[in-house]
Amino acid sequence: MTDVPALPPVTPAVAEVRSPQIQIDVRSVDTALFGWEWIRRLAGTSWVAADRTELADQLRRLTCRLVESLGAEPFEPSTAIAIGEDLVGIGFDSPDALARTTTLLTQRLLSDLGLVVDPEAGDPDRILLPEWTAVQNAAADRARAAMLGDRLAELVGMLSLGFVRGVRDRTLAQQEAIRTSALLAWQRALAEQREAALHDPLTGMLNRTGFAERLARLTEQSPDGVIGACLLSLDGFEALDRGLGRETGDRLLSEVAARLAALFDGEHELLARVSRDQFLVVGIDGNQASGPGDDGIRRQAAAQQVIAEPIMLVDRPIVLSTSCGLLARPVGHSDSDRILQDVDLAGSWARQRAPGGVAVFESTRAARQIGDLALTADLPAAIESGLLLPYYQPIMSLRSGRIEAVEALARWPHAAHGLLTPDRFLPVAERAGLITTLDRAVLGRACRQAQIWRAALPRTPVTIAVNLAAVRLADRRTVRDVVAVLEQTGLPPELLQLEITEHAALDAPETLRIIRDLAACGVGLALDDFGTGRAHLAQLAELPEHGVRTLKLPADFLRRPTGGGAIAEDPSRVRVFAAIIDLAHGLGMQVTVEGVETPGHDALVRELGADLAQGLHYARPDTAAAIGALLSADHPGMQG
Amino acid sequence: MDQLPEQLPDWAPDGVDLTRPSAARMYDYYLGGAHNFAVDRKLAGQALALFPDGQLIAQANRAFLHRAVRYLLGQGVRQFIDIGSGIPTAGNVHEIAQKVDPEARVLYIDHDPVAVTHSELILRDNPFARVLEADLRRPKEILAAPIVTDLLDLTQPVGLLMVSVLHFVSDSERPEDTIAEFRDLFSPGSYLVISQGTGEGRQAETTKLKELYRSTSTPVTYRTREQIRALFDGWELVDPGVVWIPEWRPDWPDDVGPDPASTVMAAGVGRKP
Repeated sequence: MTDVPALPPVTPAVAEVRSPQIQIDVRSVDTALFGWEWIRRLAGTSWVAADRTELADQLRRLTCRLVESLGAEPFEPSTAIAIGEDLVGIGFDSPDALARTTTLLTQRLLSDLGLVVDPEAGDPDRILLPEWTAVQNAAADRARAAMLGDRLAELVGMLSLGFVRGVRDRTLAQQEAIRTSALLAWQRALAEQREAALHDPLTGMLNRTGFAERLARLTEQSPDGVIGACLLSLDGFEALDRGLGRETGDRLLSEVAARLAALFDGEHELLARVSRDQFLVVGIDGNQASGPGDDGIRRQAAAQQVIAEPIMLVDRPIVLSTSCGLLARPVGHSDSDRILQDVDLAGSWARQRAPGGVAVFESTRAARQIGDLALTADLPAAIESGLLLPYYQPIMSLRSGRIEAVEALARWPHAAHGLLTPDRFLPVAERAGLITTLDRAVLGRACRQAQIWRAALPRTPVTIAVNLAAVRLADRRTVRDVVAVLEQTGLPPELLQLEITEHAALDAPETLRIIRDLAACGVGLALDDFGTGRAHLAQLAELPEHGVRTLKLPADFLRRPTGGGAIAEDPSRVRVFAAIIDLAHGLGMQVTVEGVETPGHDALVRELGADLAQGLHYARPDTAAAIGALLSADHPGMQG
Repeated sequence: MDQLPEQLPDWAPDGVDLTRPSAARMYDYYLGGAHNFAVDRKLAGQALALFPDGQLIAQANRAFLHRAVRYLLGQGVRQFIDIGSGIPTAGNVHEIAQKVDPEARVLYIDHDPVAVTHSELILRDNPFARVLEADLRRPKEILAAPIVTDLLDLTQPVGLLMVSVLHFVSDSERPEDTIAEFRDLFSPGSYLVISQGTGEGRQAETTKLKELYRSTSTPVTYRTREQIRALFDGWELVDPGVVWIPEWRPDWPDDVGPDPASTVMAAGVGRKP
């Protein structure tokens, strides 16, 4: 027993026993009962997933190991470390479990197993170790008992060490596990969120962002291909959405998406839903010089066809038509944003065309449309600053050969685009809601100019003709505006002729009221562009009584629709022309013919009895100064 | 994942918000586990201040799950759906079931993404136990999930375990309809296992506990034993009916303890006729 640390003497008698022999036969002690007591004490301290009998047996085995360690020669206290770890391994891992275990072991292990007899319970002088029945020496017994007590204390200490170590390892392992799981879950949620951001939740198709990402990947794989994009817009879907409800709209869209997904396998094409009612099919095709190519056309036709199949709703079939914008472009030529933007544009052209329309992207048309945007930006300032100003074109009296009137025509000398005519900027102004502003500005300038000329030509004043946009004839403020301009400029009303367009709703009571009110102000009224708009002949009869006394016939009457040849050689057209002039005269209206460009035209309109004419044959539209010079030549009495 | 960051990122996507306490991780803490974060332990600590015996209640509930699963195994059930399975703790349903039959099927379902990910890691090598991230409050997602029919043979009985989960489902979310949908899906001989907080007795504490759980993603709805009985509509209640959790077929008479009502949780098992 050289390994046993020197023990302090418990009693002087111990000194006689230098090396007490401890031999314990584990089989002879009742560890099972102790196991049951142990499990009873640990009840509720920890969650252990096992039956009580099984646990009692496991604790019995731990007891056996403790007893073996207790009696082992040489004594190895560190063997109890593993016992503490195993206690945690079984599942008793709470602080409570350790406290109760150490209490139980120190208080009860030796006595319960009969290794020592509690002196209080039995003969205080007699400590019995059953295995050592041969030993009769009470002093030696006491020494051995004391040594057992010391050994147990050491074992309990080591067991606690093992227990704490086990708990710490388990805690760290669980913390690591939950942190790993949390991180994984976080990464996964992030990936899902990212994936969701790339997809349309309704159909599961790629959205715009997702499309851009996938297209980039696809083009990387085939740098020599041609991107064929096909934008499918469901015609009139907004109305369906409103009429049937959004939920039904969603069902229709899901069905369309399912059909497209069945049609295009997704391996060769990308499918995306890029807005509520727009789907995009993009494929990388073999080398093609330009144009949508066979693959593009095939995709477009197949898609339009598959969408056109009736979709059965509960109570009715719905048939959808699709407009389609097409684009083909070599890979690397433009990024996905640009492709989306351009195919969007082509899609808008297709929709303008007709339901089921198809349009191919053209760069010149796109450039023009983009130019319009720049014009829109410049237009307000151009109007405000007076940069956009009227040019003037004389209107000749065919009888006198003199300038009877001057028509104000808006012109915009644009720094970048040169002199722009209304056909270029009026649609822009209309889209930008600037028509009224533009009309007012031109009217004001023209009337001021007319007043200047009137002052210069007091005896033979010329009428100023100013165009009035269709929207102005539906606007009550127009009458006020005209009156205000006349008042501000001092121009007599009879020297102003407002040219109203046939494109206005001339049969609308409100429009007719405005026309009558304008006539009542004393200004002259002319119907412009006759025969090109929506007025019909029946209405023509009413106009003179509303104060419209002039009919302007557009240049179309002087031209043959298909190519060249003089109008005079086309007897039928001449007959129609003549009849309309006669008709106007019959209604008490005078006739102005526009677009007279040649001596032949001039001869014809004179022959047919037109009253007035304007056109390049007489003078082109020009600045106020240039026309002022013409006027003074025409009217020799002109001053200034 | 060789390198774990010292701390998880501050910002987390929806569902993985680690700044909010999670009922699953709090339950793990009650059971003495370390699969939890400070935010969980803080709230769990407050709950334990209200219920100093909270750990015992959690253990009793867990023990009920074990007894119920063993009972069902005894009745021949070899397939289980454990809804609200939470953080896998020692002695999971698949461990109990596969000890009896190595091919017993277990589908764990939870809505807590961290709990689900953790379950996936643990079940990685187990072909017969899987986990599905879904919310009991949206049963259609569960019923529509392919994994249900992939893993389970619905012509055979299924044990549906709703242990300590229905108190996270409000009345307006109509758990009775969800249960009925499952019942219709299952074959006769299937079982429904329920345990849940009753709010009966210990009134002041249960009311405060309900307040505490408001800050989690799973607010609490108590149901009385009578209301729990009503959830077994269409199922034959197995003896002893709906009782306090320690009272349901205890392994040892003294497991019941002197005051089973103090667990404030009741449990029952029903069989589909």
